[in-house]
Amino acid sequence: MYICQICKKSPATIHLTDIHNNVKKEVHICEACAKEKGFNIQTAANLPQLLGLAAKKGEGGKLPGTLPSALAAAVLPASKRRTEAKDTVCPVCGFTWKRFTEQTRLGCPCDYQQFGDQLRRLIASQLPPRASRNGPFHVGKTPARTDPAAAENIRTMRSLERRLRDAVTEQDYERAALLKSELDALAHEATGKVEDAG
Amino acid sequence: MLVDDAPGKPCPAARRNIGIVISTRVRLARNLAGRKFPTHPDGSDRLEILSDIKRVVGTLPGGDAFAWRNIDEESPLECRLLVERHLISRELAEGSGPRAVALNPERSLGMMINEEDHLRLQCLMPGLALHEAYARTDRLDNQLSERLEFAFDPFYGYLTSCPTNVGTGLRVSAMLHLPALAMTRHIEKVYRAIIEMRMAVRGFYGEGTEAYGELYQISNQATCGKNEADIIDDMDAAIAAIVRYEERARARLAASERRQLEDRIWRSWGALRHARLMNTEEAMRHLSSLRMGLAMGLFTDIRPSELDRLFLYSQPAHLQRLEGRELEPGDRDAARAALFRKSLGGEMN
Repeated sequence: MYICQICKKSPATIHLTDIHNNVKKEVHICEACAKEKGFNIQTAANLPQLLGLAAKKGEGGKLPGTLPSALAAAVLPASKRRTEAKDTVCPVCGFTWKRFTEQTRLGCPCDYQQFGDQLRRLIASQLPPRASRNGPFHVGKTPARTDPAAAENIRTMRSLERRLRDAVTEQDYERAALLKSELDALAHEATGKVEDAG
Repeated sequence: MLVDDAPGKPCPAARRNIGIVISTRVRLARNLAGRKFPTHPDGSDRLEILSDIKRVVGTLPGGDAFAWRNIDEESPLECRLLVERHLISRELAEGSGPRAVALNPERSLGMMINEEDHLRLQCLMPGLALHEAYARTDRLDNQLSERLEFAFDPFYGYLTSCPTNVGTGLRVSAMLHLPALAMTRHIEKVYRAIIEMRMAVRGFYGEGTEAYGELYQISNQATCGKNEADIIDDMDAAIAAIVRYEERARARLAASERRQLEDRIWRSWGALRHARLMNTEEAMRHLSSLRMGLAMGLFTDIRPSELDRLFLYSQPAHLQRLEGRELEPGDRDAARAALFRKSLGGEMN
């Protein structure tokens, strides 16, 4: 995990790479410091090197106005449409994202669902170079009590969801529609067979 | 006693071994589903979690052979001994609330309960033995996961208190003795190469500690995005590369700076046999010289097993155990120097 280079405390969730005269520079900062330093996410989102940041804003924060609302509703569960300004509280452990950034440890396993978007970004930044940023993040063993086929199904579905969001953010509705039907088919297949382990 | 009192019997990871890879460690982080992590401040679940895990371990084949110790009931000195033998982490030793360690009779396979995660399985082996250490830890993990519901998400993997452990929960590490790379200042290049390979370098006691005795701990950083076999194979390849660098650096030193090398070894021998005060850092540096001398065939006046014993007993808690009393740092330095003089045939007065 990168620690913010400005406050040297919170985990960095914004990762910038700049290549100038063949010299690569990397900057890792947290959202609070980015805001404090007047980093304009809306303007920056147009720059190619900040594409990751733009996608992040579209997915976890306020959705772009051009996005058809019906499709948005299909893609994003209600909890994900909240603005990031409102920090959600985990009903099991009472943790907020802010509290996690302060003590860098989570309160309970449910937090992985509760703070899904922020955690996904954080974990994606730690992945080895060849791993897919869309996930699934876990490609290792499955506990004895979990059905491996059901787990694989959930992994595929979550990856499809992620790719679907990207397609919507990029306004590639043709690809989004294909991904959505693929996702629906899988969800239909999985219904009744498995409960989401999260 | 979890730590053997017989001074001649070193811990498994320090058995006669003068190779570059001193020891190998594998650990798996696991948590029970639906329970708060031990790092949650209210700590209400910890006692129940400890007794649940203890009960389940007792039902495993051979599970009753594990020796259990409640760390919250142990003396600070006993905890420190366990840390110095790498049987528990500093976090477990210095934590709060109900927490425990379980160790097999050989002290090579163990479990820490309520450290940062509910369960940390670990295997410590001498030399380079990543595959064997993983196989043993994996077997215990499989047995436990048949009886306990682990917090697992197919997308994220095994869920952990710190997101840097999520996924496989697997951390593999090796303790390497790299005196030639340190002497030739090539260690900086190795540091950079290790970081580029997405691995971490730490000192002797883990995170945030100094590389005393030219000992470096290398471990993987990414616990997800790769499966267990790939994490181990990549670490194996990285260690093999570092070992080759160290061997080359030793060969170069032996060819071009043999006199300086021998001078360092014999000065260390002299200091260990005659000094009146010696702190841990200096002791580990001299013992490192002798270890390098033995490995390179430049020095034969000490048995590897004696070197391992002195290495262990020069550490603060072991030294106090040997003396049978608590010692202030200044007194420790005197006791340490006396231990070396006595053990290595130096003058006693």
